[in-house]
Amino acid sequence: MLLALAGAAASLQIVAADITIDVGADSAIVEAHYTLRDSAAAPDVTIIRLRDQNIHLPSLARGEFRAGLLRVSGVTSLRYVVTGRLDRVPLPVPDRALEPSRRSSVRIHVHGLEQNVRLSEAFPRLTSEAGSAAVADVAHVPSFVRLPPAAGTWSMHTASQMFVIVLVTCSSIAWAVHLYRRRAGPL
Amino acid sequence: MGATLPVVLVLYFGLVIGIGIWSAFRTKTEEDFLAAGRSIGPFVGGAVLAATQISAGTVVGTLGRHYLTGVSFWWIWFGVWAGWLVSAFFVAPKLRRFGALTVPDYIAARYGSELARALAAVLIIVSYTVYLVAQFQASGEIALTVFGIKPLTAMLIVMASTVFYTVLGGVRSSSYIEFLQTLVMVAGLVVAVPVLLDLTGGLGQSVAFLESLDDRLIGWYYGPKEIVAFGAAFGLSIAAAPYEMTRFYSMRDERTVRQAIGVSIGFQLIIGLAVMVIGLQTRVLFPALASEDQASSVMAFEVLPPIVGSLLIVGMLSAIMSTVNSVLLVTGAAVAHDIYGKFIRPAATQARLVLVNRISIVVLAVIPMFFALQKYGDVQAIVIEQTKFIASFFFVPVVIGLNWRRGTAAGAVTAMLGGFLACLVWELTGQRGFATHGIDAVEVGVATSLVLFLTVSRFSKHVSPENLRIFFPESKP
Repeated sequence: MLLALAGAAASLQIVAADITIDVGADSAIVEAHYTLRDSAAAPDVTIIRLRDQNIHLPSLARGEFRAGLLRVSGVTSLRYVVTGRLDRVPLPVPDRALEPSRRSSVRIHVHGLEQNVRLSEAFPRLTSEAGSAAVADVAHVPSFVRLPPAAGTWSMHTASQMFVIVLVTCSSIAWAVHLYRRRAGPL
Repeated sequence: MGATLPVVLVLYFGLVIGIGIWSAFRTKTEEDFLAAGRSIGPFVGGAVLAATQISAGTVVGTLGRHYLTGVSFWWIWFGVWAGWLVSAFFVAPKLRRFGALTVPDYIAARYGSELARALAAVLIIVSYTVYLVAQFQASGEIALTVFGIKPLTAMLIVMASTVFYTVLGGVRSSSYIEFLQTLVMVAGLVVAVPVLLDLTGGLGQSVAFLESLDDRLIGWYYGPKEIVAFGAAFGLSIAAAPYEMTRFYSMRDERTVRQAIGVSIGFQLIIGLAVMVIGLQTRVLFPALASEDQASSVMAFEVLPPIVGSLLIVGMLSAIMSTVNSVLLVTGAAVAHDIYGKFIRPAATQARLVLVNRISIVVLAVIPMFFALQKYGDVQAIVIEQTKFIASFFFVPVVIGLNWRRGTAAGAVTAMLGGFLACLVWELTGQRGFATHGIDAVEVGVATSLVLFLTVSRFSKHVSPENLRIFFPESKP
């Protein structure tokens, strides 16, 4: 609904997306495939390049760059290479939401991760798969995958959870002290 | 998210039920039920006012609008705060001094008219039923995204749990629960902001990303005409909103009311900024959601760390429940206190009035669920429409009526009816041409109401000095 572009067939319905990322030392290869239902048309996708990144598309894909944004028309499968900064790998986001969107409508496989990383702190949350791969199941196509941080490093993810636990504990103690003082006060 | 969300939900709602039961033991009279024995202080009162203001319209609707349209929607908050300031200086102190139980009580006393009371009660029931539609619709969106359950099931759960604590303890239980809800909401939103900024690579990278997507997202998606119309709808309705004014009655005194409004604006500032940042960050992460109303629940469920996300989901459900609760208290009181107690059975006992109030709350909670399932628009759009109607029929008789002694019963009745109808007619006809003329239904409704109030009051019977003296102590007998 939000990004329904003119030119896309009204009946176009994307039911699933399967995306694979192969992370290498200085590049990442992204392959995406969209499953459509009863439609001869194909979706337009948008890839937003982040700072200090380059995206190399095969010449076959009809792409158009505009201020960091790459729009590719009418594709059901796409393959490209990302070079430069690789902490976040851009994904091709279709111009419409998946329908119906279920928690496993979008499956993202990530290969080539280092062994000692915290998968749950990646975005989207990853779980380990056979071998050195990891997988995320989500309902919507994210604009990028943030690769998991190495174990032992400081992370906002952990800090925020600790903060909430400390906050709730301190508030509960303060509330209990407040109630105790009111009861112990002058009659 | 695993087991974290169920654990947080069970802990939170266990606490809510505990507060409800505790309050039930302390609720003996209608005044206890509708005004918490007038015992609420400034900090709890401020949090309560913020909780009534922060509804599904904010955490689902406003966040969704920021997701869809970017930063410019944030300017409507100035309209909201202007409404609160008008309330703090020109409405709340006089109403608190009067010490009524409901807003139609004020209308009846100020204008010496039971017809005006009945009309106010009916308009409150109609417009707030619309407001509940938005709340139930939002609960359905959250439930579908987070729990994968059908919207109807979610609405029934929200309705049952809210009606439970509303019916048990009235304003006392809801005040303490709303205090808790505001703290949970503020904590959840404030913690979510740095987590999301870290995830998206910081503010600079997010801005660059949004600019690539659509440069209006960080500029002016809405122009001045739209901002003024939205701000006017919120501000004018808040200055005279029955469910917020009812909360003034439960506070200790006039000074407490003013302090509470200040505290409330502080909470709203934090929440408003956080909601804007979170809406934008969610757009960076998921640029193509099926509906902007999904943005908040997708962000809480799929993006945030489990404990933070659970806290925010609880905060969102709380915001919906607190608003449903506040609205049910007002509409239930309109039926039981202003219609049943004044017109149907004036000699009803206190116990009978409380019972009728509780039954009304249950019945009035069921009706909007039907409309919520039809999905007439996004959550924020429904909220905006409802605020336009409240402003159109209540702003003039409440705010002008409290500060202009010449206003009469006939003036108030025609102002309420005329404002409501003008807003309705403009919505159905002239609103379509807003892009060219820029005149919104709320402006038409309030202007019509004002003109009718001033004109009819000039040529109709004066209100008796006994009635005026309550609100204008300097009135001559």
